[in-house]
Amino acid sequence: MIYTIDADKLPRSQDGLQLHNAYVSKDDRINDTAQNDQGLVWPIRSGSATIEIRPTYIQNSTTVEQIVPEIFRLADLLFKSAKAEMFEYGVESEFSRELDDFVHKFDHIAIEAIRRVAFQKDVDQDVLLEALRTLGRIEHSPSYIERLRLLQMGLFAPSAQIRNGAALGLAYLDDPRAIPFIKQAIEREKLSWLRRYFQKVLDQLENTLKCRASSDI
Amino acid sequence: MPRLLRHLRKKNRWQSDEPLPWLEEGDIPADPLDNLSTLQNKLSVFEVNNGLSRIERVAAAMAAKKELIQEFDYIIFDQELLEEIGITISLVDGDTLDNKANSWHRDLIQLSATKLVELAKRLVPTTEPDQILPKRVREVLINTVASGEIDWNQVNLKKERERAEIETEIERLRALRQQNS
Repeated sequence: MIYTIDADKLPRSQDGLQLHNAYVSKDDRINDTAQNDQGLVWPIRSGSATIEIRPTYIQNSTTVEQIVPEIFRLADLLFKSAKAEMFEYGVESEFSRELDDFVHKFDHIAIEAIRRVAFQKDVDQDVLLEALRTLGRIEHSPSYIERLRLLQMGLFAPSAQIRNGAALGLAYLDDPRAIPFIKQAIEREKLSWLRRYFQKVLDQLENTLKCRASSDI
Repeated sequence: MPRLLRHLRKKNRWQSDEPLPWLEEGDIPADPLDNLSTLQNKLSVFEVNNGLSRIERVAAAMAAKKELIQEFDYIIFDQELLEEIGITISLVDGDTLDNKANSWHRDLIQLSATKLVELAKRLVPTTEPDQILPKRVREVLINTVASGEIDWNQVNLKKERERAEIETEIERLRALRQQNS
């Protein structure tokens, strides 16, 4: 599958230049690294999918290595600037809107960038929860599987707040494919309140599965 | 003995999952107080007793005035605790869009800093938070509107798609009820 990124959606490099006509393809082969004569390939997650960016036209000496790190830098900036925001119950935050926009612009690269930032130790807990909640709420098909995977992974993070946020994100996604992951998370979870939260999410997903099954009959 | 509900706006600050070695024995960290913020020295709670349906109704009532539906985090505690600390309860109607839920509202009044901290010290170590998931909040809101107990025209949800979906569901439910009656 080939994704085309509009030139306007590409980040600017440090000297202000813009990359044109960059194509992204998704390769599901499990390789550590690979490189072809048209561009650079590198693993986004160890042992899983790689993303290949093949620039067909690059201005001056701007190289393709600057694209993905730039997206990662943007994610980091997004999270840092959100620290100053006061999140209010039942109100869509500026951070949530910007995160939504970020995912729409950069698809699954955005999700990897968010994962790298969100799962760091020093991330603000309120921002983290808002991010994981938002990942479950976003309406964006191209990044759906990556978001589902990230939230499933989050159920097993060392941090209780990430586990909690991941479960919440999965509740918003309401995808029964997460059921085996939630069940495993319940078995492993030592905190009673979090185990109770996981159980609620599991109940919801199982109910969703039942409803879908009965509507298929 | 009546049981009271307090909505937690910042559930992740209620209890620390990491040990706090600097905390003196018998004391609690400051973060949980964020969930007990007062206005004019009053704290808003709802009398829910043991009914999950009441809790869910309160969650939906509070969601109705908000821009978007979110998970509803809360704690439940015995009213008896307030008597032990010397906190006064006032029967004051709430200001949600649900009159029934409003009748369950109470204000804890004349709160001094000392009483508030004492309340926090009694609640934080012993009261685990619980949660109503957003999908359930939405379901209860739909049911409450469909039964005429919340006016849909006053509901504040801003996302067009969410409003449209909920409105469709409300109409479907009303039609079903009419069919069955």
